[in-house]
Amino acid sequence: MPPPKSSLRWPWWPPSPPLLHALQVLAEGPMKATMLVAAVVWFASAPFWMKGGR
Amino acid sequence: MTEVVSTEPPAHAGDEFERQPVPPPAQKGASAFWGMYAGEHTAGTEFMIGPLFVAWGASAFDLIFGLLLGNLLAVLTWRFLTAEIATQRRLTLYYQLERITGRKLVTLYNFFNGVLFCFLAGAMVTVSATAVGVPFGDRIQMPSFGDTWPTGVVWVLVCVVIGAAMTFVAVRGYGFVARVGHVAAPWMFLVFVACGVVMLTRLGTANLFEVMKPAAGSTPKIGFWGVVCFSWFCNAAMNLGMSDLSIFRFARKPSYGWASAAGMYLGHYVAWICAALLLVYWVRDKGADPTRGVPPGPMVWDAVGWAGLLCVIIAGWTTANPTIYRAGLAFQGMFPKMSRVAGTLIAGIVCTLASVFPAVAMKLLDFVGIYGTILCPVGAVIVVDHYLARRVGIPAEYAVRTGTSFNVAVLLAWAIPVIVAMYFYRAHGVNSFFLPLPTWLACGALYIVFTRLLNRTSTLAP
Repeated sequence: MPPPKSSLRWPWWPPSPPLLHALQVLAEGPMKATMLVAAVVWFASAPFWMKGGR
Repeated sequence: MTEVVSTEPPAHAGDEFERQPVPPPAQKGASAFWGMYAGEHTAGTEFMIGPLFVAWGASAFDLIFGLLLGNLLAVLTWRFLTAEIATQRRLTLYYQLERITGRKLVTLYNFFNGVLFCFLAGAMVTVSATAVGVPFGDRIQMPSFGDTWPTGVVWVLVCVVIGAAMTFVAVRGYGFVARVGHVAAPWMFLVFVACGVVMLTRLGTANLFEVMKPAAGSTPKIGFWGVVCFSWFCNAAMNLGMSDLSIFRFARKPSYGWASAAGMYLGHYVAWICAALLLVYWVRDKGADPTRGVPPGPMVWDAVGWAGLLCVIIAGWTTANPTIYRAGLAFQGMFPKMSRVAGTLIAGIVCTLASVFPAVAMKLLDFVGIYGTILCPVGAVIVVDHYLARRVGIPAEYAVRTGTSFNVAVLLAWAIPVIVAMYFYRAHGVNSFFLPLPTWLACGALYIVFTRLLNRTSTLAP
């Protein structure tokens, strides 16, 4: 049976298969939600510990 | 080297040492420069440049290795030209130029600089508008790569509102925006990477050589050397053109010039390739026409959702704002009696008008080359003045020594190569990003020739 279209072929690049798998699961599913949460967390926390920029 | 002795009164606290060398206490450590370059070169326009490479038919080899080499050359230029001169003289570009060319010619440079800054900021507003327009759905006609005129009333309204908001913030000073841009930079890079990861998984392979190929039968408009030259000269005004003297004059050591690598390899390498993958996916899986392209907003929305839209808006905002602010300062420099607010307002209005026309953003590869070709030659005058004046027997800092306000030799050395370059661009279709280097070299050589011919002053030692 041919592999599903979205499955990444290995070997190709340094990331190990588990990382690849995680990235694939993330990209096909909750990436949009994850990135939105990441944005909220980043902008809520970074101003307190990130110096510079003025 | 001529020692810089300032005749100006000491700068008051908080100013930017605009007319005197930056003193040691005001100099900064390396981390300030690494952070600044990483942030400044991960901008909204990166979302345009990557897809434009795809539209122009660049292959994976061209992008991966061309960008590697071109960015390396850009970093070396910053390190061994800009940062060296900046840390030896510690003056702004404007003041350094004024000492050679005289005040009136700097005014002319300010005019070109200000206008081109406005168009660049306009392109950033255009990119942001493609993101703001996404929630409007079909009620807004997004521009494609071929569009030069506004695509409808809603598009114009969106651009005007964004341009007005950015101008308002720039008028208030851009300290807050600079802070937001600094804080947002790592997150924006993360969004670029996320876009790349999503696209690779959707394409089903991480082999860029497999997915990034020019369409069969098409003639690529850009190849390996085109990509090398574009990535080398897209910031020609800053490195070859010495605009970043104003930044590196604060560096303690010239080795801080390596910090430009952060901007080049994060923003102009990883981010460009990730952005290119967005259009690759839309072409291969959604049947988009690569020559017409797809605006960044819808592509990023499709890849990473609201965070992507936010990223496009913030990336455009945080880079357009300082650009409008700098353009305002350039206009203010032309008319010293004009207030900074008035200068910034003029810049904001020109920028907003430019943003309504998608021509600049959609032809960004061309525009960036023209921008570099017009502005970078003056950098050659500074390099000749700094390194070669004594050797070739011409006076260094001619305007300071003679009191002239208009050095004709500089004007001719600057204008002739630019006019010739523009002729080749318009009449022979030479890509604009091939033009900055020959223009820069010609300007340097002509400056020596014209100074020897026109500025023969026997009393002036070199």
